[in-house]
Order: sequence, then structure tokens, then C-alpha cells
Amino acid sequence: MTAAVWRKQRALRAASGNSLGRDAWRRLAANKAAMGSLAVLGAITLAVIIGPWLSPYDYFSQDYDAIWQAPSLANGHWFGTDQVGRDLLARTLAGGRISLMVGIVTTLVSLVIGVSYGAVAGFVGGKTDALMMRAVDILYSLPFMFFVILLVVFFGRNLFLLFAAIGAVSWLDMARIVRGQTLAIKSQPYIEAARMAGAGTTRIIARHVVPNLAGIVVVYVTLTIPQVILFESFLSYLGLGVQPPATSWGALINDGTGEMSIAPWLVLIPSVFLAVTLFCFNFIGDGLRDALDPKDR
Amino acid sequence: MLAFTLKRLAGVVPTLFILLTATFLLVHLAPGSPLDGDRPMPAEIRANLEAKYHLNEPLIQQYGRYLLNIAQLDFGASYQYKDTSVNDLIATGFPVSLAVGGFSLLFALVIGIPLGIIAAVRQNKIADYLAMGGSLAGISVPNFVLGPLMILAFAVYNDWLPAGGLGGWQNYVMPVLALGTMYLAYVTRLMRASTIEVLRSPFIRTARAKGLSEMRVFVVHVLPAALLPVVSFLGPGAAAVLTGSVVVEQIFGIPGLGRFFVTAALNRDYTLVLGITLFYGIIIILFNLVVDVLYGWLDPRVAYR
Repeated sequence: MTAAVWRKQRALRAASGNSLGRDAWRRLAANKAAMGSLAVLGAITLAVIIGPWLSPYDYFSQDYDAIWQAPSLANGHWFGTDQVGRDLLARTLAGGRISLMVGIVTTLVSLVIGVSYGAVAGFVGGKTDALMMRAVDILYSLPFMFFVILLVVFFGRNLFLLFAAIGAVSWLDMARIVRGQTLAIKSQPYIEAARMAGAGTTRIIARHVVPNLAGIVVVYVTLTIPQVILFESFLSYLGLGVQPPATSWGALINDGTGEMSIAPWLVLIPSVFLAVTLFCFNFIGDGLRDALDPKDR
Repeated sequence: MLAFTLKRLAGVVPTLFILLTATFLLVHLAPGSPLDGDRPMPAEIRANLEAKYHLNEPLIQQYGRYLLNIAQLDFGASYQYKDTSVNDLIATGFPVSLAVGGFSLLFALVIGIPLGIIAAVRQNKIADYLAMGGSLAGISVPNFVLGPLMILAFAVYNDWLPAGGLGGWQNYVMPVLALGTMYLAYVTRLMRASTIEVLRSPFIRTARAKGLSEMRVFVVHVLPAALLPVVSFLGPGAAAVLTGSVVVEQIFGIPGLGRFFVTAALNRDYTLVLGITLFYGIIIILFNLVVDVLYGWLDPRVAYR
């Protein structure tokens, strides 16, 4: 089947009412907390993407004539400045870029690994499944944070390593959940039908199993992003993550903690941004889970 | 039951093996040698040092030596504090970390379990919304945000609690709150979800149909079943508390093992970082084993599967 035909069919299906998806969407839209979170998150994302272009200040320039300015609209530093006169608004936005980017890219890494691993284990089953899941259990009981720090210490600190390391450790949950769901999908009549039609295992997994995992995967993606952002902030807070001049919310909180008694806004503002972002992701994830949960229907 | 315990015990072996092998390979694959300094070293001295630290031996022999040392619980000397062994540092720092972490976990359980039950029993009422909203907030506010905010509120603006260090019980209040809040939130959510599920199951209807009092149904039938997910959370929970204590010790200037770990990581004190990773790895694996066996004990369905 060509991609064009497939797209057309999907459009047709959507038009005729993919009842599960539409139903879930309606339930999510009724969830005020989740919709509010979606709006706030959208605003933060937009600000982080376009904000740095609009801001008259950049995140690394020092200005010794304007150190420790309290937040005010009058002096142009809406969020104030730090001990070397860098504009905190610009720094918060630049830090947000890194934090959100790490969250999304790393979640994609874990998504790809987790979904393919879980789908294969669940679909193939038997000894392969037992072995693959035993491996996940083993990895699960290792102290990951310490491992990642060990990795950072021995291989040096850089952003790419951070992506790889966090992505490599955060796919375990996804793999477990996808496997469970695949087991349920495997016994569905349409899988049998596909097999009768002569489709091979790879094709069945890619075309019939994975698309039907979408719902649960979306929920866990929404819940993995905040975990990853937290993970990165944790490392950056300890000084082991993003290195200056680049910054992230975790790094900003770390910087601000040192100046806390003189300039509390330096720790308060990035903290609020980080907490609100995590809160929104968690709320949306919870809302999605409720919306897709057939038990409550 | 004994067979189950032995089986779990045997299951620990591959996990430990992978922990040890992965750390060994990681350390040896890393670019550079621990002997690389700021200045180039004469070849003879380098050869001598390599011989002293057995770096000239084949990798497999080094690996054997490494396993042997760890089997004897000898993590070597610190690279940075020349005359202190990693074992000494662990012996000084771990009790402190254990106290902070233990109190935090206890705090999370003692408050989270009743809170989760209340939320479940009053599902979709105001108490439930408050508990769930609060716990979602608790999950979203990391300890490195909560810690500084508490210092600001309780130590800088008001002189109620000491900002850091270790002395009396007052020093433990803020670290335990900062570290425990997130686990409190997790335990509350877990407890609520499992209580709701158990309350809906047929054996509870049976218990009620037998004419048992509501109190008896709850204490004898609901509670033990609903506590199971919380028990299984103890394993990853303890690991997370140990990890979190790394940050909390940093914030509040507590001389625990986590603090040593961060200092070592920032100063690239290879042996100390490796030693603490291994030590915590072994502790967590053993703790998971205890939780697993406990779980099988509480829920016979697991053991006989």
C-alpha cells in the first residue's frame, strides 16, 4: 500500500469517526485541569522558542552597571539581573530551551527504544520475552542516577552524552507497558487476519501492533517528559549537567541558590518555571490516562 | 516459601554481576588514564606506577583482581584524599545519609498511607481533590526547589530552623521534608489507586455480604491487599531516596555519603565515585531482594506462580 493511499484511508477513518480517539479527546477536553495545563504549557513553549529573539538582552552578556537589579518593569529587566548583571528573563528563556529540548529529544530516544523493545518482546513471546524482560528487571534494579554520574565523570560533561545517558535509562517503563499492551493486542482477531493474509512478523508489529499502542504510548510520553526534565535539572543543579555559558532551569536554580539571601528572585523565578512545567505535564498525562481508560467509560 | 526465597536469592547474582562488569568496563573504556596529569611523566615512573596499580596487566586479570577486592568489600583508596580509604569515607558518610533517607521514607509512609486511604474512600469528593492536587504538586516540585525555598522561608526570613549543618533534631526537619515530600506524593497516589481497586473487587463484596462490620472489612480485607503496591514501591523508593539525598545533602550542607559523591564527581576522584556507585548499587540490589521476599510473603499468589 502506498503512503498516499494509506493517508487517504486514515483521513476517511477520521472523518467517519474513529470512535475511541474522538471519545478520548472529548473526555480530555472536558477535563479543565488538563486543558488549562495544556494552555499554560503552550504559552511557556512559545515564550521559550520566540522569546529570545524578541528580548533586547541575551543570556550571557554581563553588565556590571546593572548587577542585582530586582525584577521591575521600569528598568527593562522584568525578572531582574544576577550578580554579574545578566538579564534573568533572557536566561530563564534560554534555560527553558535547553530543559524542554532535553525533555523532548530524550523522551523520543526512550520512546523509540522502549516501543520497539516492548513490542518485540510482547509479540514474539516465549523464551525471548522471558529473557528480554529479565534484562529489563536487572537494569531496573541498578542505581541509575549514580551510573549516569559515573558516566559523566569518566567521559566528560557534554550535552550529547546527557541525551544518550538519560535516554538509555528512561525507556524501561515504556518497554514494560508496551509489552503488556502488546500481549493484549496479540490475541485480537485483526492480528490473526493479518497473519492469514500473509503478513510477516516485522510487518505485523510495525503496521498493526505499534499503531494500536498509540494511546498508552502517548500517556507515557507525557509522563516521561517531566521525569527527564527533572533528571536533567538534577544533574545541572549538581553542576554535572549543562555547562556554562549554556544554562538550563536546573543550572539557574543552582546559581540562584548561592545568592538566595541577597537576591531571592534568582532562585524563585526559575523554580516557578520548572515546577509549573512539570506540574502541567503531569496534569496532562493524568488527564490523558483517565480519558483513555476504558474502565471509567 | 523457602524455594521462593532461594530463587530470588539466585536472581540477585546476575544483577550483581552486571553491575560489577558494567562499571569495570565503563571505567576502562573511558578516554585517558588516571595517571594522566598536567605534566607529562617520565616513562620509567609511569611504568612503575602502572605496575603498582596493576595497570600493566591484561584486562581480564585486572577484572579478576577487581572482583576479588569487591568480594572482600575493599573499594581501595580515595584518589583525592590520599591517606583515606574509600571504605573509611563510606563508614563516616553512610550512617548520616541513612538517617536522612530513612526518616524521609518513614515520613512518606506514615502520612501517605492514611492520606491515600482517605482520598480513596472519599473518591471524587473535596478531600480526594485536595489530596490528589496536593500530591501532583508534590511530584512536580523537585527537592532542589523545595530545599532552597524552605531555607528562605524558615531560616533566612524567619529564624525558626538552622539552615544547614548537623546538630540536633532541628537540623533534620528541613532535609527530611525536602526529600520526603515527593515520596509522600507517590505513596499517596499509589495507596489511593490500589485502595479504589481493592474496594471494587468481588472478595470485598463477599466480605460485606457475610455481614462483617465495615471496620473489620477494611482492616482485615482491604488494607493488606491495598498495601501491596506500596510495599513493592519500597524498592525503587529506597533507591530514589538515596539518589535524592545526594542533592539534599548538598543543599543543607550535611556531611553524608551523597555529599562526598558530588564532591568526588566534580573533582573527578575516580576511585571514590566508583566505590560509592558500587556500594549504593549493592545496597539497592540487596534491599530490592528483601522487598521481593517480603512481597512474596505478604502475597502468596506471587510465590506460588
